[in-house]
Amino acid sequence: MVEALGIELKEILFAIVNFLVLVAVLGKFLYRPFLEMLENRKQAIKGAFDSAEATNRRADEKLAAYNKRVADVEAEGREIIKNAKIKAEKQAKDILDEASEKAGNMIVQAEREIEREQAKAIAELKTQVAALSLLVAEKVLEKQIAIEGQDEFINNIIEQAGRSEWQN
Amino acid sequence: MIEALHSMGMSSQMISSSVITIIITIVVIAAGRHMEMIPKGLQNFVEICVESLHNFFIGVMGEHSGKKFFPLIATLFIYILISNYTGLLPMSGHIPGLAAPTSSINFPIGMAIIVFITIEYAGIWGNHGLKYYKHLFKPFAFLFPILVLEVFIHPVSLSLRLYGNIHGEETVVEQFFELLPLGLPIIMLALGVLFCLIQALVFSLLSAIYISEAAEPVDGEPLEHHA
Repeated sequence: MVEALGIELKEILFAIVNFLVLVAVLGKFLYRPFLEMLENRKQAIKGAFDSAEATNRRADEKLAAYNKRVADVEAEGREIIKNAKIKAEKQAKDILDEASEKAGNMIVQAEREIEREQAKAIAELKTQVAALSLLVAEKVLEKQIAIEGQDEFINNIIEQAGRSEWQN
Repeated sequence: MIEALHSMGMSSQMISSSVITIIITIVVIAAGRHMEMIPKGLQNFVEICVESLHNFFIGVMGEHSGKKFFPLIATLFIYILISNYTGLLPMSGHIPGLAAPTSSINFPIGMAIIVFITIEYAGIWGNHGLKYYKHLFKPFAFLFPILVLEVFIHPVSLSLRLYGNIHGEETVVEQFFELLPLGLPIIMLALGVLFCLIQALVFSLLSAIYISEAAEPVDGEPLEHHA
């Protein structure tokens, strides 16, 4: 049976040695380097993915911080504008109130001054009218008028000068 | 030169086997000479083959024994596949120095002996010693003769299956060629492409299953503590 099948010990041993040599060669030049390369590539790809993920996460965090900062700045800006507006309105109101008060005071003062000047002018006018009246009387009559008995006449003239028609 | 090798007692199968080994070695060295992170050409092709084989056999054998015995099983597949396809070359078996090594019973026997030794080694390695042979008495001690027979039947069935299929396929092609040289053998050659692949897969897959089964602890201990 052994001969019928062609079994030869020499060929079997050759096959074993040949196969073991091939296993050793492929182990050294095929499986080890290629599986290492596949593993390295796997790690590199994983690392790249992890790195990309970390970068994305950092970018998202930065974007969120930036958006928050922009929102804060906008809110702060709105607050500043609001405060400035309130302050400006208050200042404008104060200025208007002050101006109004000053104007009122000035008007009152001016009126008082006018009244005082008017009274003064009237008093001066009265004195001048009296002297002028005497002078006019002296000139018209061209005669010596006795001081006695003329007081009533002088007072009438002064009274007439003090009335309203003199003031206009 | 081939006559000189024949006169030294080397058969055509032995010469073909040596040539196959040399060609595989040259291709592998050429593919891995300037390896780059982004593969192309031959490196890409070899990487695809290695990765596919690795994933397939790790899936069959499991991570633990798969990593240890992958080089042997993958080499079995590659060597048997190329040896089988050598038989499909024109005038294979008819010109000196060109014949499929697997068409001779001796090469399948040689590989089956290696698988047999590896199965025993895997059993001892996976069980930390000779307690692996407890499995010959389980589940019942009286089954011992049958279980011993089974141990030897595995390599015998592996070698006979491979030899029978390849030898049978080559014989059929030869007969077809004698009947009608043009046309008829092509049908068998086309089927032969598939048969050769299936036989290489069956031999390596069964070897992987036998080895991984042997590496499993007889007492059901966890495998993680093995180096």
